[in-house]
Amino acid sequence: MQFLRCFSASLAGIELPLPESSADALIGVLLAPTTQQRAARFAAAMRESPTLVVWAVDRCGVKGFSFNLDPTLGGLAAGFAEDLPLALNDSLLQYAEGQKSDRGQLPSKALQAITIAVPAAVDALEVARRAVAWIESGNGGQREDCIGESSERAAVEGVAVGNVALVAEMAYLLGLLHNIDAYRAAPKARGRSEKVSAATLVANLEPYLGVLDSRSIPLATEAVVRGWAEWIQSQAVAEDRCAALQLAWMGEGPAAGRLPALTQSLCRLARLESEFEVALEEAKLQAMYKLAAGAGHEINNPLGSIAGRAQLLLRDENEPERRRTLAKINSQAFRAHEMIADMMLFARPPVPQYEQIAPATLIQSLVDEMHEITEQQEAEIVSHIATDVATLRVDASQLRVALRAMCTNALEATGLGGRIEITVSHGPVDKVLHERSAPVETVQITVRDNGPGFSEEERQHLFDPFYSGREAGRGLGFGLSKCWRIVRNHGGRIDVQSDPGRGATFEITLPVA
Amino acid sequence: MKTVFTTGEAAKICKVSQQTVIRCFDSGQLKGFRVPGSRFRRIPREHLFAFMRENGIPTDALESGKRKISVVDDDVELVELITDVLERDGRFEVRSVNNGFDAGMMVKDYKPDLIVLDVMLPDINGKEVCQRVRSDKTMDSVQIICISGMVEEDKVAGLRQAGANDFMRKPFEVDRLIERICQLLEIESGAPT
Repeated sequence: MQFLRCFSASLAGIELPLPESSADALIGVLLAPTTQQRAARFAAAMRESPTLVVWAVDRCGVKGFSFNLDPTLGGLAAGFAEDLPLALNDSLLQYAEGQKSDRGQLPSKALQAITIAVPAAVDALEVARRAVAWIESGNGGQREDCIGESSERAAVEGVAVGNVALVAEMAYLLGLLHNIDAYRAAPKARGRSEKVSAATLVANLEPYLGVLDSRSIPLATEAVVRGWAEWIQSQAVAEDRCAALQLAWMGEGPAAGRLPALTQSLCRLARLESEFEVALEEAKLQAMYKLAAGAGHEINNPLGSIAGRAQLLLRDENEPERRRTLAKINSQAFRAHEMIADMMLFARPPVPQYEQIAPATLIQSLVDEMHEITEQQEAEIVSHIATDVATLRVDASQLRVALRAMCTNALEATGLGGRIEITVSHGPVDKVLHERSAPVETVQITVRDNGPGFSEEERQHLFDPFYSGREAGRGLGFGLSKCWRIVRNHGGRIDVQSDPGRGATFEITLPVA
Repeated sequence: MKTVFTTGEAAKICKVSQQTVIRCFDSGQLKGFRVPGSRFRRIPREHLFAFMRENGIPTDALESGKRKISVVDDDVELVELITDVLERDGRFEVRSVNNGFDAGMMVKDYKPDLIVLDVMLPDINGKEVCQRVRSDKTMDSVQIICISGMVEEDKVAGLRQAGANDFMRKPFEVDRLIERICQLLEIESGAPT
């Protein structure tokens, strides 16, 4: 205590900023070994000059230091509350200045200082508030402006030097409590800070809800609610938004009255958003279906005439070259018909007619169907079927269509002499088939080829009916789109893997019903 | 031209049951002979003609000896194609209309053996045409083949329920169409010699 007295006595002669050693010295004294001593010394120092204490603390950045003062120290705290904002503002500005000149050299130290100074200020502010309440002096407009400015500045500087999550966060807290403009700046800072999770922020905000309540600042409440709304909206993932709001809900007071409503409306927005996606996809498919159905009626009539006429001419034709041509006209008309039929199937596949079928039977019938084309291409299809997969519960004819599309695609990719490997095995249980489905037992059918594979861009468009990666020899027409649709209709999913030049693997995962 | 008919063929031409023909044959109303060495009944053309006239049965089917087909489709080219195909075959007599309303009139009047019916007509749909034909007892023996540019499997089932006997998609193999017609009319498929 002797040292502190001496120190205090000479205080008038010392001008801020103190040399660092002085601050160190002061902190050294304050950090007494026992809690009791520490509180006593701290109280004394505060009595002398709270400004000095705060400055020393944020200057030195002492770990573990906090302003856990009891409100019964009200008299001291009131003085502290008077001085703190100015001191804090000064020191923050100073650090900000330091930032500008020292950036690149000592950023970490400066940042560290700021990160300690700001939470310290928050604690200090709390003390100040209690003190103010205690002495029933409600008129603190000037102080608040001051703190608001500091916090805003801190936030802005925090952004300037990079991703300083904590600074932004604290500035945000300070700001939304005391200065609406400053808090408005904070979400911007937060937007760039990816390190702070929604939960952290809300957890930090929570205690202050009570404060807001006791202070009864309707405007601030309004601001908090709006600020949250803004910030929560800025969160990318809908679940995060909801989680954040759930936490915020726990608050009490005026904000709490608004938060549930806000929560509901935001959750509804989030839900609407995802429902919109689903509805949009549904509407697209519906439009496509209508187009296909209309096209089916309109185009198949002339196709019928073309094919039929060609067939009639073919009957009477003996000249081989002309026979070939007529046969081609006929087959091409049927090809056009197939395309429309595929489009129709993609837009609205029939409801699967489930049946139990042994995988070996299914794959064998597929191989048989593919026989002619594999023969032509001098390709081979080999299959491995795990013995423990007894039966599949699928619409066999639909699944055959899907697998045939997959094999055809593979054959197109491999060209002459390709090799396709079909494997049927148990799939992982935890594989989520749909966004919302619970884990179920699965069976996996993989189709692997030794073709050239595809690029990332091609992979993205693989199942897109309007994309044709013909240069690469894959994704032609509706084949894979149809495949995707059928598998999805079975409640399954398709995954693809490929390294360009090293073949491709299509993996169908189906639920074991 | 066919000169001798079995009781089954005579029944189809007269649009009565085979049992009726047999009864009339056995009672002597319908004259004919039995195939030597067996009990199979045969009816010469002139006797059948006389029998039909006496009993007020329209004789046009016998006169041409051809099976009557109605083609109902709003696509003129396609109607022309089907008519062409059937007439070339030589065993069929064809009449065509382009909408459901005319189809109703024509079917009542013409009494075809078989209707080739487009499902998507401009006025009423094919299913309704099927239902109307089936609601008329006198047309029980009329066969219906539906054709359509695009009908999903579940709708095909609906058409069959409404009374369609067969279904084909457009475009189709003309030979397959003849085959199916022959099957439904119980005549030998394959072009006549």
